[in-house]
This record gives sequence, C-alpha cells and structure tokens, in this order.
Amino acid sequence: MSQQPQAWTPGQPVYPQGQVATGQPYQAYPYAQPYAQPYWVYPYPAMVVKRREPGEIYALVVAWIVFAFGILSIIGGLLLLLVAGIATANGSGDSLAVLTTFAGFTLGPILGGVLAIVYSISRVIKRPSPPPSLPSSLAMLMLTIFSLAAAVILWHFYTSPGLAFAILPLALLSGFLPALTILAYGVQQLGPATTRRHLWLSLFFGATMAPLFAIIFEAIAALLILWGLAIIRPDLTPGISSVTDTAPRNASDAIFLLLVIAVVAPLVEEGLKPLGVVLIVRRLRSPAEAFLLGLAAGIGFDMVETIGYIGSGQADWVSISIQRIGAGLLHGLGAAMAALGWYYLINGKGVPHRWLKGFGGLVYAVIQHGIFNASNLLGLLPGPVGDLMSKTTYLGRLPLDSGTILFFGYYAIILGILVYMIGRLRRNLKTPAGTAATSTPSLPTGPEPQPVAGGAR
Amino acid sequence: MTTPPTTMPQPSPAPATATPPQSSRPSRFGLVFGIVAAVLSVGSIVLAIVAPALTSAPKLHVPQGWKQIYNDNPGNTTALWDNARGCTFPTAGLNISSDSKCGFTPANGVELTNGVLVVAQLAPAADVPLSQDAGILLDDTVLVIISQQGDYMICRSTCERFANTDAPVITGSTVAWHADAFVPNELAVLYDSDQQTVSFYVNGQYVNQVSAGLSSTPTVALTTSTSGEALFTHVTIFAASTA
Repeated sequence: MSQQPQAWTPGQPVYPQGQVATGQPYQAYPYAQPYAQPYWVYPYPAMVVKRREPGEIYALVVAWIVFAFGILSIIGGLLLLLVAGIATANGSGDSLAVLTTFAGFTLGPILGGVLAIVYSISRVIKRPSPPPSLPSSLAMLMLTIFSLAAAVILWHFYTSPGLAFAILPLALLSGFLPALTILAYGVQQLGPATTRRHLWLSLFFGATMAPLFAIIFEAIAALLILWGLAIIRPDLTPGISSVTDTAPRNASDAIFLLLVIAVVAPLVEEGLKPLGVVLIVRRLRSPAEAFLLGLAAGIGFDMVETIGYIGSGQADWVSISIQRIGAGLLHGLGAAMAALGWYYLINGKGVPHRWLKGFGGLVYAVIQHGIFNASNLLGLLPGPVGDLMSKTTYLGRLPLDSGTILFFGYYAIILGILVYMIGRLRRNLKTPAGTAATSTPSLPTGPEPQPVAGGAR
Repeated sequence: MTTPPTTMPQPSPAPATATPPQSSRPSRFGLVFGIVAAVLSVGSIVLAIVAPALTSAPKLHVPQGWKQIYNDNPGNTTALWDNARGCTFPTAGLNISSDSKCGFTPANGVELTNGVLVVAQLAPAADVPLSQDAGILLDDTVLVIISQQGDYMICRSTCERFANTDAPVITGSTVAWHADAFVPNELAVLYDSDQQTVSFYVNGQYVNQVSAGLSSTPTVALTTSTSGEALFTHVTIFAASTA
C-alpha cells in the first residue's frame, strides 16, 4: 500500500529525519532511539487504547442477545396475531377464551419485543436508564377494586355479556391490575435498587419466554408421567382427557393430576421464571435488585397465565378474576425468591451460608407453588375438608367456590412474607444504584456479593 | 407457614446511622402510567357496559304471531317426553345422559309447522355428575350441542361432538355461556322455515346459524353427548303455526 506524502504544517514538530510526527508506532522504526528527546515529551496526547470496564463485553453480548430475541419476539407475536385474525374471521371471535389466549401470546411478545430492541440499543450506546417508577401501589389497588367492582355489577345486570371484543379490555385489566399493584409495591420499596430497563425486560421475559417454555416442558413432563403410570399401573391408566375434565374419575386420575399440577408445574415454572434474571445476575448489584427483578418476572408470568384462566370462564370471567386476584403474589414472590437464590449461588462468594440461602430460595419457591396447586385437589378429599371445598359462597348472586376463601388465606400469608422480605432487603439497600453510564456503582457493603461490573446497566 | 429462615439474607453490617432509603416517588413515567391505567379502566368499563348492544344480531325474541306450544318443567309433564331411550325425570326436570335422546310429543296430536323455537333452561353443571353437555335436535337432522366449557357444534344429520363428519359443521365457543359450574344456562334454537336457517342462542345472545331445510313438521328432541349429561329444568316451545 502506498503511503501518501504527509504535509508539514506550521508549528508541527518534525523528527530529525524530517518526518512529520504522526503518532505512528515508534517501535516500528528499525533504528535505535535517534531522537533528541523521548517521544513522550511531545505535547501530543499519547495514543491510549481505552480498556473496557470489567464485564462490559458480557453486558454488550447480553444486549445483542436481547436485541435478537426482541426481533424474533415481534415476528412471533405478529404471526400469532395473524393466526388470531384468521381464527376470529372463522367464528372464534365470539369466545373470550380464544381472545384472551391470543391477547396473552401476542401483546407480550410484540410489546416486549419493541422494548427489548429499544432497551438493548440504548444499552449498547450506553444511555443510562433511570430507576423504575410506577404509580403508588395504593392507586393501583384502587383501580383494581374499581374495575372488579364494575365487572361484578355488570355480571349481575347482564345475563349474557355481549360482544366478546368489547369485554376483552376489562377482562384483561382485571387480570393485569392486581398483578401491577403488587409490582408497584415492590418498585415503591426497592425501585432504587435497579433500573427501568432491567425491570421491564425482566417482566416481559416472564410474560413471553417463560410461559412458552413452561407449556412445552409441562406437556412433555405430563406425557412422561402418563407413560410411567401406564407401565406401573396399566389397570389404572388415566387418559389425556383427565387433565381437562372437571374432576378426576379415579385414584389414578388424582395421582396424575397431583403430579402434574403440584410437582411438575412448580418445578418447571419456578425454574423458568427467573431465568431472565439469571442471564444478567453477574451484573446485579444487590440481593434487593435480584429480588425485584424476579418479582417482575413472576408478575409478567402471572399476567399471561391469569388472563388465560379468566377467558375460560366466558360469561363468568369475573369470578375467576376474583379467585386469581392474588396469583401475582404466588408467582411474584416465588420468582423473586428463586432469583434471590440464584443471586447467592452465582454471586455469593464470601457470603455466610451462601449455599443454604441459594438453594433455600429455590426450594421455597417450588414448595410455595406446590402447596398452592395441591390445594386445588382438596375438594376430592372425603370428610369435612372435601365438603367445605365443595361448597359455594356468593358475592351477591355471583357464585365463588369455597376454595376461594382458602386461596385468600394463602394469599395473605404470601403477602406477609413478601412484605417481610422486602423490608429486610430494603434495610440493606444503602443508596440508589447509580444509573449513569460513567458513574461508579454504589456497591453494597459487608459480606454481600458484588457485581461483576458497573457502568450502564 | 413461615419462610424458611435459611432463605433470609443476612443484614449487612451497616452503620447504625444508616437509614433505609425513602420510597421512590412516581416519576413522570409513573404518573403517565397511572393516568393511562385510569383512562383505560374507565374506557374498558364503558365498553363492557355497551357490549350487549354491539353484538352482530339482536337478542332472542319470539317471532311475532308464533304460538306457545309448551312451557313447563319436563319433570311435571313426563307424558309429553319420550322416555324410551334412557331419559329420567327427577323433580328438577329432565335428565339425559350418555348420548340419549328425549323426543317431545305435543299434546293433543298437534304438529309444529312453519318454524319452531325451542328455549331450554339447564340446571347448574354442578348438579350433574358428568360434564354437562346439552343439545337440541331438530327433525333428527340438525343438532345443536354445547359443552360445559361453552364449546358448541351445529351439524346436519347425525354427528358426534368434536368428531369429524361429512356433513357441514360449525364449531366454536361463545362468551355468552356461563362456564361456572354453579350458574345455570339457557340455550335456544330457532328454525326459520322462510329463510331455511337454524339459529343458535345462548342466554338470549345470538351465537351462530346454519342453513338447513327441515321437513314441514319438524320434530323436537333434547339430547347430550356420548360422555356427557344434561339436566333440563324448563323448556318452552313455540311454533309458527300448528296443524
């Protein structure tokens, strides 16, 4: 390659050989130090290769992965939207079950995909992300009560609800608002621990990837259990229809259901929900951040799952939305504890009882979920427990099965644990985590683990 | 139940003077989020209020001039229902299980002509041990059947629920159906002989229709699916005219 002759400009120093100083690597010169002065005496800044902050490559890789998944997510969501349009045109538009299912699997991927692209690009260009902010949990609670009360009143007025498309927004909000109330509480208390970017991406991971993989893994596990039962007890083999029947028909059905809903579902779902947090756990600054991001992922998962259940009630969707009002607590706290567990397992070097805390969080999440799911089968028990669960209570004329009261008690316990955990973590939260691209992160003190890197997150 | 103590993170040795951070106040984003949520809530409620008026067809009404042929609890009028194929009559009404069929025989040898409307009320699904799948069969030709979850099928000639048949079939599910096991439902089938259509209504709300040419004096029967059961508590039948 030929080199263009370099012009000398007034004031620019020259080497004794008459060459213009250009910042070329001096080591390339084949002769020994011929200069009167060492090169660093020249008033030009030395060429410095800017070193990336520790973990910056890792963060960039994650950002690009998020970007790619954002595009895939939008494409997938749009394809599903097309399917939904075709199904609606073919007569399925009158079904709230169909509409809520499609809403759950199209809204999440499209909206989440857009956010993933925006946030990953903003991360790549190191644009800082502020701490997350939501309305106060009290305001969200008021909106929840307002929406559900309106839905209950409408149920009493209308024998049939009317156009499914017109009911869909209220049905969706009845599932979303209780979940967002819980998230708002978490953000209100622990918001400074993380960034808006991390929070929303975590929520949309929980609302998209986690349910997608959960459906696949749970279906595979159910088939394996069926296969196993067929080998062990061929005389009592349940059918696939057992899963969708209103009640198990025999002991084998009950065992099958118990295994699927109280063992497989908790293991799969609590394993998948915090995976988005695990992906970035090395960059998290505190247990509080892991907990809040896990909570967001669980809330996202709950929103998709709950609206699916709500739709299955068709004209009685409101009774399901009331029964599921605290499902966000179950999924939220479960994922939060699991994320906290992963945080200690991965980042917890030097933390006392690291493994106990890590595995404790994971086990807690699975057990909490398993107990809740198993309680759905209490109605099958003979005696007073079964009788109690089979009874009906009424909200006006709206029937609610007695299991709802049990669920509400369980929700109250979970809420108590959530408040306690948030209180503990909040006390450890020293200062707001810096969000500026160049700021030095404020690290937790004491034996808590430290993040891999600071910088924009 | 308590949280396992092992999961509790140890408090870091913070200085005694350290105070917890103040709750983060909603930023502009939070404020906008709250306003949008409030507007959406109000808008959704308004939309749900007007939803019944937005359906593609008006609510069920008896065509003008049609005569009421029957209006009773089938359990009180067992003589008018064919119980030869496994139909039973508990005090609550007419119970049909496992693919049985109970035909209606109008009193005094009257025949239903020029169109018929059958309105059947069901007991809550919790009142029957099997899945409550209720159907109305017109003229042994057009079957309208709906499952406990609100999935329905309209088919010509004999057809089994969810089975593939050669006859044209309409399937779907409807928001008008009360899927709660403790809420009763009402289904109605209207045969319009002028337009040669069979329309299906649930709880008074139009669901779907199929074109079908029935005989001039169509018969009426109540039925269920192979694995289901149905308890009809009240039936009302209208006809355009009688012979």
